[in-house]
Amino acid sequence: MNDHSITRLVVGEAMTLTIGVPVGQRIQEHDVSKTIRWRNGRWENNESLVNKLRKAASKSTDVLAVPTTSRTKPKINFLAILEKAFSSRKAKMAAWCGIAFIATTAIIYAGLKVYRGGIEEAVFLPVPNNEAVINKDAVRTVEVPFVRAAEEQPAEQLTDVPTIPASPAQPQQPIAAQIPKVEQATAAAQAPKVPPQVPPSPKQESKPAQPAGMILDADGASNKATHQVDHPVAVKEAPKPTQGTGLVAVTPDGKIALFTNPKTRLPERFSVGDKLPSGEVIKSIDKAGKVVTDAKEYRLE
Amino acid sequence: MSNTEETIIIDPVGMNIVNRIAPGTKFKGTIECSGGLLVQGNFEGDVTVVNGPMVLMQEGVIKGNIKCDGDAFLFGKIEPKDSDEPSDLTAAGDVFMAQTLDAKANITAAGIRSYEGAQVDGRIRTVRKEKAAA
Repeated sequence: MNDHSITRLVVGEAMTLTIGVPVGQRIQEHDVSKTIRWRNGRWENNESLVNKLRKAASKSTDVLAVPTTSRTKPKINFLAILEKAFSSRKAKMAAWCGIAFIATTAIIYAGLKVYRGGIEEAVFLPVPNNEAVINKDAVRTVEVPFVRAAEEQPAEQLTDVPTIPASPAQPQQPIAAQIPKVEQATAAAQAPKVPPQVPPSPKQESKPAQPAGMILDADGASNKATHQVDHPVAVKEAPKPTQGTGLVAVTPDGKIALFTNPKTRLPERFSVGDKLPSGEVIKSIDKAGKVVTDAKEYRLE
Repeated sequence: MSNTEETIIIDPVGMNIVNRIAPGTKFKGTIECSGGLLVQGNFEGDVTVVNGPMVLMQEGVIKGNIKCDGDAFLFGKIEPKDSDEPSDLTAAGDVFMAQTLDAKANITAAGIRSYEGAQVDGRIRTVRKEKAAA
């Protein structure tokens, strides 16, 4: 008999005994979460104060977490502020309505600007009054000195001034025009040199001292012209340039001279003291048609 | 913490329990056991257990000074000494205070394993095993 048998015989067989429920003998996993341990310079398994405050506030999440170690200023999240400001439905709708209104106004303004700019940039070309017919009966030539009779020429007669036809191939027609005072001022504004024209007749050439005046009968009673002129253009037709002189007329005092520009066929006016395009200043005008400047002498040919 | 009761298997052969005080046996005196001791009777005196645990069964009663170099499984009753001083139990290993324990003793052990229901009236000390062995 071995010892085991003896033991079994003496002591007995193995016995299973209930010892009970252990008390404080083992730390379970759920117990670890409740403990606070200091590791790596901070408390482990510890809920932060901010989280605790948030949980305590439950619904309110307006907690600004400011780092204690950072020296920089807290950043302001504008998106969060805007989101908070427009959190309500009404605020969102109002914001969208404002944006739509601004966009619509901008579009309308841009459209109007383009439209007006197009209108303003449009070139208003004077419509040639092709219907203006120069009535020869309304024009007569008189060989009298040119006298300004502003009182005899009312302003309403501006509309009766005929225009120059485009074709310069009718130079032989004697065109006499008496420019009223008002018309001259207006013509001077548009074309600075719009003198009344005197056809280059031989009689005028022989009498330079008394230049012939051209009278444009603009009287409604005798004038059969029914045309109307939109702008006061006194020059009707450029006379045929003759060899020699383009001088049309010179005032008795010799301060103003009218001549026909051979290039443009338009009458131009020179007066003492005027500055030529070349920069020269007219000093005197000879009755024979010689213009003396500070640099040269010109003949109105 | 688990609320389930634990069970322990006391195997005399495996735990080298070769000494036994049988139920209904009364012993008064000093005993030195080589091997574990299983107390199911009534013991009064000084007992020293080496090379084995001491198992105080639920029907066993001990009074006096108990020294054990192993574990001690206490299921029974430890009465005070005749001078009403608590008994002394010194174990080099762990002391298992089961739910049926009723002890009026000072318990000194390397480890304490307490279970719900154990009644201990005395001082409980824990020491390191090498000192307890000493």
